[in-house]
Amino acid sequence: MSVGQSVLRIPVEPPEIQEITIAPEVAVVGDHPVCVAMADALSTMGLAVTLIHPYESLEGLMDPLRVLVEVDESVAEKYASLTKDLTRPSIKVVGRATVEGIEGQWGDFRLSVLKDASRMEVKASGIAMAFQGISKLPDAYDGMDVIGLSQFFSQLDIHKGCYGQKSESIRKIAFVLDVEQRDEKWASATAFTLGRYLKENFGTEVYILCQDVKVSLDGMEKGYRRAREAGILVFKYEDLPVVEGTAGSWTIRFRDSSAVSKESPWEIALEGLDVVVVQERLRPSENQRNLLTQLRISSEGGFVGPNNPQFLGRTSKKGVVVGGDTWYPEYPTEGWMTAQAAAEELYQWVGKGSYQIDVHRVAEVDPSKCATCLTCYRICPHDSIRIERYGMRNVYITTGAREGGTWEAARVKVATCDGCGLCASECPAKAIQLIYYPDVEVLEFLEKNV
Amino acid sequence: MGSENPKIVAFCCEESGMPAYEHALSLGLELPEGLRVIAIPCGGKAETGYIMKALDEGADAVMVFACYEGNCKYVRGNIRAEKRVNYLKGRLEKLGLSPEKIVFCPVAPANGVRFAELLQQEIEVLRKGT
Repeated sequence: MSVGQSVLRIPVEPPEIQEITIAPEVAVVGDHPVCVAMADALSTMGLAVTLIHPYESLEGLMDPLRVLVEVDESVAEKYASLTKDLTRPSIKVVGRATVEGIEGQWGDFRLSVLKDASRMEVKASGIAMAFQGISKLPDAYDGMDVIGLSQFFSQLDIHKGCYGQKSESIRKIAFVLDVEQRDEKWASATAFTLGRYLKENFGTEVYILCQDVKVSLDGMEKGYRRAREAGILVFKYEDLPVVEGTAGSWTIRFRDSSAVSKESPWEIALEGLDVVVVQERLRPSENQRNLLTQLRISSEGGFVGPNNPQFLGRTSKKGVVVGGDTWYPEYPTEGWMTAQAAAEELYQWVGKGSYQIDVHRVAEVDPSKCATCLTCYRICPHDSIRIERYGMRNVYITTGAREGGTWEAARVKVATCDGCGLCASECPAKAIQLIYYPDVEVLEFLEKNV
Repeated sequence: MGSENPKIVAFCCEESGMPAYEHALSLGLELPEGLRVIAIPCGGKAETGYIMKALDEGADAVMVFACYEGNCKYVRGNIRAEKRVNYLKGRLEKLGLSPEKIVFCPVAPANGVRFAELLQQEIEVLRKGT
């Protein structure tokens, strides 16, 4: 029994280095336009890129940007530089293909790809993913004839300023933003850019209803000012606006909380609106959900971004980066920045060729104690413990089984282990120990000092 | 020593608890005399065995300092730690011991003041209990 504070620190020993080689080849997977930007950036860095997308051609992949390219110069600039030169030999494009499953680890991913009803396998050391979200009208306006922002986008005739079946340009339009998602900037940026374009070119009366005006986007402060100068009216609401009427003559009633104090807001009614556009909710697609689950990447509501906002494009799995809506719904200019960051992150994982790993700061399984209960397999945040099913029999052997014998135990893949000790603390058989910080040290410290 | 100078074993996550402890030291805050700090790589490494061993050896309280929810470097380590602590509280209650002997404390790495506060709170709780 000793008196006074005492501290047990994690022992720092000189690292034990092991070298592994990683082939500089990556796969870019998805149906989002930023896939092209990521493939472009990665191939510029000198990596061999396989771009797997579900469309007929790369134009199909870039199609969602068609309208914004005409409207926003900053988008057009990057778009032109991207589409100009994509026929580099280092980019291998696999069109009309979907990725159904991904197996493996950093340095050794195997993608099973379905192309034209036949299966093929693609190998890659790292993966970049970017999928489009699926849009859904907010519950409050579901079933009404109002239009979602992305639907409006795809059906707008940018040269005539008309929407859908009509041949004359829109006279009055209202954008209702921030209905369910208050922090998505893409909708705000799109509405302001598109609204200003309609106002300047076709004299359309544009109203934008939002909860906050989001200007924390590159060029958005200027865009907002220019929109105000052009004569777009912006209102702030707190209670959800009520939309009445039918297509062609909508009425929106709401209380504007920006003009006067919040206690006595102005009652406002906008009448005779041709089109009401509502910001929809973006949901992750089935394919994206599936792949994230297979890779065991943690995501919040299907988006990876909110989990680690300070590291653009980074995921909880080594050697996998994401962009596009898989990261978070973003305006194209911002999305390209994320894509660039993601590509640079991926380059760190696969670009150097050989990597030195500290094999000291890892966990180790004692095969004689392991009961193959799969607890560690479920818990590992980096997916670095694996047990493979052997043949048809219900026998589990490890990926690195000794020659000539079965070794029924889990095995830690040293390259991807970070030494957090979660597996060691949960293992019911106490078969896992951290090499650099065994249980004995803690228990001895407790015996001596408490 | 008893309630006068309770022995508190603090399991500190390397990413948040330890920096908070260092910060508290650098601020010169008064930490309890009976404090035993054990660094662990992640809050989730505070094993059932460690915590029970500490109580078995005669610690008055065990505190697990980990990251706030959503901040864990290892994604869900802090959530596992919290669940484990809650489970152990239930076990203590069944044994007829006070569940307040084990506490889960999320703390930010640069918040040494909070670190010291939480320790002080725990000491007051222990004093009330005895």
